[in-house]
Amino acid sequence: MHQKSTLEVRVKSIIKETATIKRFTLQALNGLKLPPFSGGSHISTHLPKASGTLERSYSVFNLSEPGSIEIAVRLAEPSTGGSEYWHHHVSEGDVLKVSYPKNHFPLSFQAKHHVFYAAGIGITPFLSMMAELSEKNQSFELHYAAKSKEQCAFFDFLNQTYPGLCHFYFSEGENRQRLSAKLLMDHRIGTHVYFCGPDKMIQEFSSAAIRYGYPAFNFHFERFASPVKKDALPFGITLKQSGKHLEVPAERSLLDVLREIGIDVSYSCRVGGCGTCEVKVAEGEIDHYDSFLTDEQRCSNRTMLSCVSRGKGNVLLDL
Amino acid sequence: MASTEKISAFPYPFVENNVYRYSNNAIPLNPPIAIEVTDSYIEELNLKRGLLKMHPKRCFHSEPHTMDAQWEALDLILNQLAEYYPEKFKLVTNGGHWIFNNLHKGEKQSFTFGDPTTLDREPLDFVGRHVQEDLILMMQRDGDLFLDAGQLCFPANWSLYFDAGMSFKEIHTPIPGFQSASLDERILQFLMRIEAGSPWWRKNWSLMAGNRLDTSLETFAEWGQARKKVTKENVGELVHLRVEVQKLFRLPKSNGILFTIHTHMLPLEQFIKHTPWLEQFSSILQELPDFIADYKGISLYREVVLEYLEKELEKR
Amino acid sequence: MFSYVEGKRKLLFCTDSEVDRNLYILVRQALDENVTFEFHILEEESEESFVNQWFHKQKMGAYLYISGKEDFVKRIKDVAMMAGFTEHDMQSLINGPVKKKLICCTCHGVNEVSDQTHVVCVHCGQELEVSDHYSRRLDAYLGYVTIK
Repeated sequence: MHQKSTLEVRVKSIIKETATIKRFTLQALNGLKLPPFSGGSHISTHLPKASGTLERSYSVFNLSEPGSIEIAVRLAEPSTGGSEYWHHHVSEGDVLKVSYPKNHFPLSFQAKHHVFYAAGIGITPFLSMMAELSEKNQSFELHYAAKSKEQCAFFDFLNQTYPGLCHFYFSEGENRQRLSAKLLMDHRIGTHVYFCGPDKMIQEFSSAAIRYGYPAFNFHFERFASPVKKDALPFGITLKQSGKHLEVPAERSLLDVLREIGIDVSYSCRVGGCGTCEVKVAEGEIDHYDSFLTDEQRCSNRTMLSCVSRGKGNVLLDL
Repeated sequence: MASTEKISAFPYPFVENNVYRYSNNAIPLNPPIAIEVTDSYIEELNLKRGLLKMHPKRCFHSEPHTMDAQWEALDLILNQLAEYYPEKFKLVTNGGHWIFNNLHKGEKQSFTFGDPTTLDREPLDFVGRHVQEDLILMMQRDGDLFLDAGQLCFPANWSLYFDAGMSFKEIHTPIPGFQSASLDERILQFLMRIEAGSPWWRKNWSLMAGNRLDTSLETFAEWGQARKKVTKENVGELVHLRVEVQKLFRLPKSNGILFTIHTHMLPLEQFIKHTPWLEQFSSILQELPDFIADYKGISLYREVVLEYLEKELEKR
Repeated sequence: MFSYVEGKRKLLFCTDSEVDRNLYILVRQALDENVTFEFHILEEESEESFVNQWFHKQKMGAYLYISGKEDFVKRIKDVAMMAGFTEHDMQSLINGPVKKKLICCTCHGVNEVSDQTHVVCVHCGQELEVSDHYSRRLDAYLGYVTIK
């Protein structure tokens, strides 16, 4: 598999923001600056667990000195490994590998007003987005739900930095308030809304946005990417046109096997990035290892990049 | 104005197939260098600067929201010039205070990074005057890519003035066959997924009657005439293979994409000295569909070139 | 033609003429489906500040239909975009002739064309082939020089 270039970073400081959320400040090793990033960006972090390297993505922000990258990690129950590692195995001074910042959750350019809806740790992508908008003097507001003030990470920071623009909703204690999707009804024309939180919350807000007549263009959400499994297993293919059956061994790619029997699949990068070697899938399930297809295309199970992606069991190809 | 180069340095554009079609032929760029300084550096730089002076509207365009991306492009290119060509360029940065020294050209510029009032020109326009490459900034906005800034002196028959502000698909509508099989959609998808730290590159080719680098659409009425002047006698000398090396970098702060385009040219009579090139190019040109030949501006003299290539093949 | 977009909370109609038939069918459907709508016939250019206020007070979920002569549609569309409408929250339909601007590839001069395929640039005299390459920034098509 293609090795993307990574950055080595040192954990400069760890701050406990709430009982379950820690903030990690990362710096470059050589005294230089880490790359800057746009609002909504994230990094993948490579965690050297005994069982192998674990890759986990976190939104990035920077409330410290220029040239740092910060992430906030909530200890999940049960943890799939990432948050447990960050909370219990990472200390100040440790060196880790991370990806360059990438952005799958960018701010709208033509919005007249931006509204952020966060639940819990879902606040993290909005920290960099609000910083960017504030620097560019653009109009925005935040609606942020947490269990209580104590469990609301960055409560003081947000109130001080963006006075009057942040609205909090606490589900425990006195003055309980629920963050309701009805708020979506009252945003002016030209508003873009952004949701980040548990799947249920994203679902609720997205369907409300559709119900209130929002074009898909105007609402955005981020789900955290599911972990990537990287071991290649053998699988079988059947070609729809000829009925021919072939095995793709663990150490070979589908692209190689197809070209070997004279099927002229064109290709370019061979690392799952350019999309040239795409083949249509008629039946079967696919493990996608590329960085080209959209989530929708992946889930359709109708297409795959033959250079890196693999079938599960047997796959019928439209060839 | 001749700007042809040695055969050894020429970026041969074809891979193993003897058939050419439009495709996303990009591959990862290793090492990740956005610029190349060749023997014709001074000559091409003078040509570029002359064009920028005479035709500023044709050669440079920028939208106000590209300032961040322009500084990022400047940052990347000046740092790479100093890192990869230390005998020709020096860069001293002291916090925000930068001093760039182009030893090759004998020019020195100090400025405050991020402060446009400390440069005579916009950052992209400044840095473009120190490299042979044309520089294009595509900004990612609302789920699409737009050509929002560029310094373009050596276009392959297109107009920056006209295409500025267009989306990726709008720019490519004039290319016949580009929309079929949603190739435009696929390439857009690829571009939008380019990540910082993992740049890509591709080569694009065409044939050119004449040896001008500045084949702008604005001057087509002048240089396009040479297509009618290709004869059996002059074909090897007059017709050139023109190759653009295009490199693509994601700029993480602005989330824009920097394209650097380095244009290379080689006359056919040089090109065919390398027999494998002659053989492969001959079959590619033979097979090339009319719609591609038309768009690449080859149709008027394709037959003459083919005859020439076949004659040369017989000699081997 | 216009298409009726389902699922909007409010529809806005505007036209430059009382006898504009294009909107009738949409209005009838809005009535049938009990969707709130507002309808304005705008005949004077001085109504621009009214239009501006009307658009600015709209909420997300509103959808705009503009029908009228070319100049009217372009003018109202500009006001709508400034207020925050995008191509995702509006449709427009031009009644009557449409002028087309053509930019000369050689001199960048602007020519007005109707349905010709070739014109001579009024600025530089170059013969141009009218293309469908269109720039929204310049609101114009590109005229190419051909080598004969």
